[in-house]
Amino acid sequence: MAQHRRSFSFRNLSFAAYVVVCLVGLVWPGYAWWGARFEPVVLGIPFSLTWVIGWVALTFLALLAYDLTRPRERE
Amino acid sequence: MDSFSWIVLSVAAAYLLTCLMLGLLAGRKTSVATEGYVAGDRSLGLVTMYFITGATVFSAFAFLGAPGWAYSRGAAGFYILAYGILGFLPFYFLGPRAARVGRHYGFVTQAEMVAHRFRSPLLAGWMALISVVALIPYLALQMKGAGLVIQSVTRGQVSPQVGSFVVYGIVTWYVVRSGVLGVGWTNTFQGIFMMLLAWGLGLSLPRLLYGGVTEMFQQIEASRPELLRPPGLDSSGNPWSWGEYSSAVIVSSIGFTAWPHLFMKAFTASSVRTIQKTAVLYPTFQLFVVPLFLIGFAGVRFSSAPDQVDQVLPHMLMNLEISPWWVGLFCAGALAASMSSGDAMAHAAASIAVRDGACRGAGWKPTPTQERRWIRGGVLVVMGLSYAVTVHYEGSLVTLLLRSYGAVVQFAPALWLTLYVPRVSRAAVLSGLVLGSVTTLLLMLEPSWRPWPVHAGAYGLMANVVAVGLAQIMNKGPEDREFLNVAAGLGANTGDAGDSGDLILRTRR
Repeated sequence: MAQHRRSFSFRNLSFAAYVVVCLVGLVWPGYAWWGARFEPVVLGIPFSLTWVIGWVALTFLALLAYDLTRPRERE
Repeated sequence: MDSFSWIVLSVAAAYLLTCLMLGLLAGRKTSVATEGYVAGDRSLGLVTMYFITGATVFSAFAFLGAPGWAYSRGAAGFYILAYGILGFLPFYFLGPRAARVGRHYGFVTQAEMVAHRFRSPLLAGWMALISVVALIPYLALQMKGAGLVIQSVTRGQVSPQVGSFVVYGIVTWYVVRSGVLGVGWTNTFQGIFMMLLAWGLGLSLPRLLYGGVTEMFQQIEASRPELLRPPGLDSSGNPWSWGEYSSAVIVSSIGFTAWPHLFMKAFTASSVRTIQKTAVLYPTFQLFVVPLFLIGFAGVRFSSAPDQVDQVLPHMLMNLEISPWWVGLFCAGALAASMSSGDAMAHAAASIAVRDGACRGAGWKPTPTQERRWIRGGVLVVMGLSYAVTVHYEGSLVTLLLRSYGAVVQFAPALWLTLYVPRVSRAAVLSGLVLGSVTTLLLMLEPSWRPWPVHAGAYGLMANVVAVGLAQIMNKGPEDREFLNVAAGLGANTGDAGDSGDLILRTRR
């Protein structure tokens, strides 16, 4: 039962929410609405590419946070 | 041959020799059984796992294809970066579960795992067939890439057939000798090598040709702004649709970890934590695509155009009058990309054909030494077949590959069902797999049958999920608590602390 409760925890729900937001950001409509432009240029790179690189960085941080907060009660 | 080609070839030869030595040394550590040859005795640590998964994914296709996409289709190529972001996430969840059941029941391939859970040799046979059929054109593509690189850097003095024969002769040697550890050790070296080279070229080419990355993009924005606006262009130069772009990202993300040569690496990890850490660190490897885009964009305003878009990088290097040492390094980097994927594919295809096809599917029961000998022979057969395809197949290999990819993507629901859902019927998994792959293949052969311009694999996945759902409504199947308890690490004899565990899995059976 303990495992069952854990699978619907705040941690899992917020990670699932992040995955949905990230996916929407990477494809239509998120990418089309907010990412499809040249300006602002960051480190010489157009915003349409910076946008995707930004999601790489954010996903790394999100998964890192998810991993660091994993339950350890049974150790 | 002129002195230019000699210098280029000797740099490439030095690189190939290093790979061979590393690959042969690696094999001295494994046990004689299949588990040693296929799963490296489940001993791979974080560094090897990171490079084996990263370098396996980045093939000759990425090294030459990503610049080719950026050069000809602009922002459409960003999908390669986008799908990798979410594509490896499932490995964080599926990987540890697969590793636990693998250790408990002795699995070394994904089909073996699925077939055991649903007690179905038919499933093993079907998955083995699709895996091998999908991996051979993929491997042929790697061989072709290696041959083309050698041909272009020697200005045609070495034919692509000879080039790929020599390179893949070396790969065959270390894969046959050392199995997965040969793949792992060489991939670590190859991974570091190609990352350094991609960043080196990605930053120096724009500087050399435009004065810097900023200037390069400003010139492209002024002359061809459509290249920098997603979803970019299609292969004939017209604007691509958002439907195609988005579904390409989604289908590739879902199918990414289902590739057998990648998923099987879950069985090689030394611990559950290694797999989780690899998945967390994976996006840092993904950034390796960024310099490849820069290289491709550098070609947009280059003085001459390559014959084929995939040749944009070697074309620029050969027309820039740069030192042959640099060209030699590029050649080695491209070979690294090709070999680090090709070795894993050959190894996976042979292991799957023998283990899943012959043992599980057809019921053959060899001794461990016999099995290992057959897998080694299988590597030779797979290499030979792929080489024959490379030399004789006239059509587009990429098209062949994309078709088989659509079928491999259909493994994804089966993997989630196997490792997460307690009550699933055999009929549900089988009908999902079969309907999904048939739908995908049909729509790839007849693209006009698609109601919307969306990736054919997406329709296949929908058919797959609907078939599973309907079959589940009719018959939920028996509950398999034991298997899932092992998967979640809840059993008494798994030796670790469960899904949240840090401890190394030690016990088997």
